[in-house]
Amino acid sequence: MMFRKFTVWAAMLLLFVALPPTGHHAARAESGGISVEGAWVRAIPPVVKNTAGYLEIFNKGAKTEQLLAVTTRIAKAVEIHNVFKKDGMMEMRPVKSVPIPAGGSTALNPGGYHLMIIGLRRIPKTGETVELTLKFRRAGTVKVIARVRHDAPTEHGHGMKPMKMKH
Amino acid sequence: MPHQELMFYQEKPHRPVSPPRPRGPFPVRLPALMALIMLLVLTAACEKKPESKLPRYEKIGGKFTLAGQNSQPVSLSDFKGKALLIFFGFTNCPDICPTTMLTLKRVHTQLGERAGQLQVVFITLDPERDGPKQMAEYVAHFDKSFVGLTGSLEQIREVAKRFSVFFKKNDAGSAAGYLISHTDVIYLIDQEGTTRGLYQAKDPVEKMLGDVKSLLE
Repeated sequence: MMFRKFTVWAAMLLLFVALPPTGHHAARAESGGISVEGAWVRAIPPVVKNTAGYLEIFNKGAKTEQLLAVTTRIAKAVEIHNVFKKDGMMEMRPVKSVPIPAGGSTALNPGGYHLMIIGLRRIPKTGETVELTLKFRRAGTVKVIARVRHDAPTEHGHGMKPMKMKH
Repeated sequence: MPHQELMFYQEKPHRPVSPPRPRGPFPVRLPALMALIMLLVLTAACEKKPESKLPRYEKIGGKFTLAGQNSQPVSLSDFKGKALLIFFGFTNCPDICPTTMLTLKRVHTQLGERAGQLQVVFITLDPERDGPKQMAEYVAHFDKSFVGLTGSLEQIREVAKRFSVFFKKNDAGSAAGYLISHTDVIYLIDQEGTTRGLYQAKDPVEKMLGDVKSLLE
């Protein structure tokens, strides 16, 4: 009886550990305590030369991390922007960095922090991928593959949200 | 003897005070029921849609004339007979504006067969960079039926003022050049041109959809 109970628990534990924590809509990039998931770039009409990029950063380290800069080959520049409400107006401004707390995560989502991809050299099309190079203060360079999407991924569609696992 | 008195009281016949209840399964009297049925029939026969309960914002919005995709003048009155959802933004806005356009697209799609009764209009606050062709191509990305409007800075300022839209050029040192800070309200206009709803860009689709539906046939 005890043995059976043990095997059931062991099997459940193994299953939990073996399950990959990635969302299947984008690859997971990892380096130096930092992992980046769910990266996507918005597909826009060709007349527009700028678009936005979004992703979620997980910091497994013991100290606060900072995203300092992003580059990509498909555009002249990438800036990190945040949206502020000032005098009732929504204002988008470049920020110097994005903090990611130790043992926590920071999401770049529509309406908040986002990457502004400026001066597109080619127009990203829905379904394609775009490589983004992220520079962190501690972790250094992390390359991320972002999927080009027409709209944000929803909770219920396009795969499950990646599981956050504590190691 | 008390016991006897009690028995006598109990034996007293019960006289009903109100008229006899009607027989049959209905708890309501027959004449009242017939009156109710007649009222329902009359109401259904009228075929007139009840007046929507949405508020009327008489001081927000109003007539305007701006430039359409071929630089032709487009007025609010051109959309008479359709409900409108109007949003003010600019095409170089990578986050809020596309997100809002997608929300409006969702409302439009969820109207199904009645989608043709709703017109989505995107008005630029950046006429310097957003010319008629730019606007037309931008909105077409979201839906072929959406309309983009531009004009001279004076015309845009005037329309923005009527809709209580505040906007400001921002030179925040971005490689994208100047950005525009702006209020992000979505306006619902009824078929006669009166503003009937105000929404935030991040409001749920259901809220807008419900209000739009209340205006349609």
